[in-house]
Amino acid sequence: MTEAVGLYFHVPFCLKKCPYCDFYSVAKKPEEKEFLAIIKEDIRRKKSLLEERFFLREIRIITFYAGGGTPSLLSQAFYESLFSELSKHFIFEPVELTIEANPEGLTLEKLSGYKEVGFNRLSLGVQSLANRGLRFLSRVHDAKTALKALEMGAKVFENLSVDLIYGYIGQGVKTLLKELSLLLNFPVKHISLYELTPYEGTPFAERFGERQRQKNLRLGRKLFLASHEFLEERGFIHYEISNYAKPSYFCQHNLLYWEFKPYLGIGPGAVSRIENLRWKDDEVLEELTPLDMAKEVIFMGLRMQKGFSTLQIKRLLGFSIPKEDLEPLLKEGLVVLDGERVCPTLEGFLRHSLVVKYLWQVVEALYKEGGR
Amino acid sequence: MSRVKVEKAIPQERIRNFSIIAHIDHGKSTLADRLLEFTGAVCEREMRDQYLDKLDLERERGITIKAQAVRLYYQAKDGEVYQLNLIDTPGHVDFTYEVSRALSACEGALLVVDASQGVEAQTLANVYLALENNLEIIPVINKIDLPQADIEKTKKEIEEIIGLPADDALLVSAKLGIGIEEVLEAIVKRIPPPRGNRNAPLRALVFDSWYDPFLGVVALVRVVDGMVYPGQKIKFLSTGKAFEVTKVGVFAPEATSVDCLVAGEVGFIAAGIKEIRDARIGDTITEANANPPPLPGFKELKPVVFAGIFPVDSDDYEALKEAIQKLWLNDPAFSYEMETSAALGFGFRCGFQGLLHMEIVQERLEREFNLNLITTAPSVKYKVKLRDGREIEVENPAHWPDPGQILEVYEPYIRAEIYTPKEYLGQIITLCEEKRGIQKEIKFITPERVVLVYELPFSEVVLDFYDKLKSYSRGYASLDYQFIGYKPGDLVKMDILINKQPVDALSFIVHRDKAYYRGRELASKLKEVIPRQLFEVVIQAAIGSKVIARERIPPLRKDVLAKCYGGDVTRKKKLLEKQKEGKKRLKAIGEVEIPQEAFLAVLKI
Repeated sequence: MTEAVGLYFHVPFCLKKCPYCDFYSVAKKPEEKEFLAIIKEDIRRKKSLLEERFFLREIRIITFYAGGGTPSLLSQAFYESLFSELSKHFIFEPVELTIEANPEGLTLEKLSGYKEVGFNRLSLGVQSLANRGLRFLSRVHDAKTALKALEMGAKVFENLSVDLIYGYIGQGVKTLLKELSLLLNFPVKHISLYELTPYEGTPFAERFGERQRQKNLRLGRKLFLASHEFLEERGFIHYEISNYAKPSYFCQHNLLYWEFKPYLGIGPGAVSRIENLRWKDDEVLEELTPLDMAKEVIFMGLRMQKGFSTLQIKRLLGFSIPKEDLEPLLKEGLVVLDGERVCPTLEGFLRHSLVVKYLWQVVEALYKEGGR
Repeated sequence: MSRVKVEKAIPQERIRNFSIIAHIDHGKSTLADRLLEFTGAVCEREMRDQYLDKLDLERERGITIKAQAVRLYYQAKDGEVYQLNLIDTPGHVDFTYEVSRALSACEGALLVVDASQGVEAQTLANVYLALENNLEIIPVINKIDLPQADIEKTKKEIEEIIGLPADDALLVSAKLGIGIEEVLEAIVKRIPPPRGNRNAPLRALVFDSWYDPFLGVVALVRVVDGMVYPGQKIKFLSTGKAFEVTKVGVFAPEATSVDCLVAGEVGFIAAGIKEIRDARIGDTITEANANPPPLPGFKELKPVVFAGIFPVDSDDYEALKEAIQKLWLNDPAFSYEMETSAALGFGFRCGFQGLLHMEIVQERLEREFNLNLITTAPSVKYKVKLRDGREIEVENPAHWPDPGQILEVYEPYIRAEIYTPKEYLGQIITLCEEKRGIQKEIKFITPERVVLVYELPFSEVVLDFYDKLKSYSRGYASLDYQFIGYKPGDLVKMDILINKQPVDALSFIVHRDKAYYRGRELASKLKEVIPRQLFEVVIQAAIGSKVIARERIPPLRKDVLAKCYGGDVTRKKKLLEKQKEGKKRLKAIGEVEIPQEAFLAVLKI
C-alpha cells in the first residue's frame, strides 16, 4: 500500500533560545556529520516501523518542512545528503519544500544554496519589524537585519513566508499595522501571524505571564481584527487562525496537520502520526480512538477557514452532528455551513477553544448514547 | 509510664466507662491523647495528634465526627488495675445523635472547659444530655497554662451556668501534660462501675457500626448483661436475624482480639454480617434463642435541614446511591430519598441535623467514595395550608405550591441561646434582628459574659447565621438551640432563571420582606461565579412571573490558541481537555455551564 505523507524535519539547534519558545531546541551549533548519522538512523527506524506496524511498503513524501530550532544552521551539503538518504527509503517527490531561516547570518549565497538543493519555499523568522518588539522578544537580530533578510529572501524565493509575533508590550494597533505595511513592501506570499503567548514552562511565562495575559485579553482581540482587515484588503486569505496567504500560496505541509492527514517527523522530538498512532522518538503519545479522531478533526479543522467536514465525522463515528446541536453556534454567528462543512467565522476563530469544547461535548454525549 | 499487663479479666467493679464532653477547641482530643500516653496505651513513637480522630476530615477540621471507643488499663494509687473505656464524642450541636449514642454506653463524663474561654452553649447541651443519661460528671478546667486562663471565673461559670459544683474541678493542661494523673484518679474514684449482670443472658447495645473489608460489618457494643464471645450465636432484636460471632475485640487503641466481652465492657464484635443494615445502631444484641426485653435505644432525631445532593456527572447516580446507603449505615442521623431535578438530573433529597452535618456528609461522600457532587441550597420544613383545606409539608422549594393555592405558610422557629462576651453584644443583637429574631431575654451571667435568648425562624439560621455569629464575635460566641414549633410567616418562592429557563436547583423560599434584597444579591453573586462563556448568559430572579433582578454575563469574546501544528497537537488538545475537566464541577443547564459555587452562592447571601 502506498501512503502519501508530509515529512517534518526537526532541527533542534539555535544560536540562542528565545524566551517565549516552547519547542525543543538546544543553544548550540550542530555537528553536521554526527547529526546526519542520527537522522539516518531515525529514518531507518521510522521506515521499518511503518512496514511492521502499518504494513506500508511505499511511502510517498508529498511535502517537506525543515523547522526547528533553526534549520538554517545546517548547510546545503547537509540537506543534499539528507534528501538523497530520504530518496533511498521513500518516494521523495515533495511539491513543497520549506526551510525556516532566521534573519541573522543569512546570505544570498546561503539562500541560493538551499534553493539549489531543492527548497522552493522560505519561511523567515522575522517576528517583528520594530526594534522595540525584537528587544522585547529577546531576538538576536534587529529590524535592519530583518529588512535585509527579507530583501534577500525575496530575491531567491518566489514563495516567501514570514513569521510575525504580535502582542508584545508596547505594541498597539497602530504599531502592528505599521509593521505589516513595512512587510508588504516585499513580495511576501504567506504570513504566519501569531499572538504572543506566554507558554507554561518558558521564561516568558514567568516574567510576563499575568501581565501579558491581562493585556492579551484587552488588546488581543483588537489586534487580531485589525490585522485581519488590513491583510484581507491587501489580497491575503485568512485561511487559518494565525495564517494568511495569497491565493494558491497556502502552506501545503501545515494543511496536512489541520486536515488530519498523516505525517512523519524525523529528528529528535519530532512527532509523527499515521492512522491512529501518534508518537515521538520511542514514546507513544496517543493511540486515537474513533472518538479521539473525530475530536481532533473538529479541533484542527476549526482552525481553518474551510472548517471540517461533517462527513468525516460520520465516517469516523457512524453518526453526524445533528443540525440542532450546531444551531446555537450558527445563531451566535460562530460558524456557517457550507454544504457538509462547518466553517468558523471570524468570531469563531476568536472563540476557537470555546467552540471546540462545545462541539467536543456534543460528540462525546452523542457517542455515549450511540448516536442519535 | 509503661503499659500495664493484664492477665485476667477485670472484675466489673474495676471497669469505668466514660466520655469527654467539650466544646470544639477546648482540648478534648488533646486530653484524650494524654490519657492514652499516660496509661501507656500508645507509646510516644506511635503517637500522633488527635489519635482517636481517624477520619482525615476530623483531623483536618479539628473536630470529632464519629464516636470511638478505646480501652485503657490504669493502675490506680490504690494499687488496683482498672479497665477504662473512653468513648469519644463529637462536640458540635449537629452531632447530638452521635453524642447521645456514645453517652448511653457510659457511666460518667469528663466535662472539659477551656479556662480562657469559659462555658459554651454547646457544652451545656451535651452536659444536659449527660445528665439525662444519669452520668457522673467531672468538671475539668483545661488550658490552665495559658496566660489568659481565669480559673476562678471558669469555676464560677460552671457553677452558675451549668449548676455543677466546681470546687473539686480538676485543673489540667492537656497540652503540657499537667494534671493527667488526677484525671485518671477521679475517673476511678468518682465514676461508678457499670451495673449489669454477667450471669444473665446477653444483652448488648450497638452504638456504632461500620463495614470492614476483612471482617464484614463490625459493631461497636456496650455489653449490658451476660457476655459475648466467638462462636456464640447471636441475634439482632429489631430484625431477628441471627449470626455467629467470629471475632470479639477492643481498641487499645489499635484493634486487638479478646476472648470475650462481659457485662459492663465496651468493644467490637464481628459476626460475618454482610449487610450493614443488619447491625443497626441503637439495636440490642441477644443470644440467638433468647428473647429478653430490648435495651432503650436512642432518642432518634428528626432531620431539620434539607438539601438535594446530585452527582456532577449523571453517570455517577448509581455510585452515589450506593455511597449514600453505605454512609447512612454509619451515620443514620441523615435521611435520604430519591429526587429528580430538571437541572441536575437524578439525585437525593437529604435531611441533616444541621449545616455542619450537611457539609460533613457531602465531604465524606466525596472523599470516601470519590464522588463529585453538587449540593443545593439548604431548606427547612415548612407547613403550608392550602385553600382546599389540606395542609402539606414542604422542604423542597421545587414542591412549593402555586401561590394561588396557598392560604397560609408556617415556618419552624427555634429558641436560640447565645453565649457571648459582652463586647460583641451589640453586633449579635443586630444579627438576630436582621434574621427576624424575637428577643426573649438578655442576662449577664458574669460581669463579662452574656446569655442572649432569641426566638428565630430556623430558615434564617440554616443559611449563614452560625458563620456570621462566629465572625462578629471573633469566634467567642456560641450557640445552642431547640425547636419550639411553627409560626406563620409571609414566605414566597424565589425562582432563578438562566437564559429564561428556571433552574429548579437554585430556587429557594424567602420571607417577602427580604425577597428583593436576596434576589438582587443572588443574581449579582451568580454573575460573579458563572464564568464568561461561549454564549451570553442572562440571570433573572423572579417571584412568580415578576422579575425582580436581572444580570447579564457577556460572552467570552476571545479564547483561542495562537498556534497548533503536528508537533504540539497532543499537548494543545490536553490543554483543552484540562479546561473541560476543570469544569467537572460545572453542570450544563441548557447551554450554560454553571459551577458548583453557583449552587452554594444561595447560601452566602
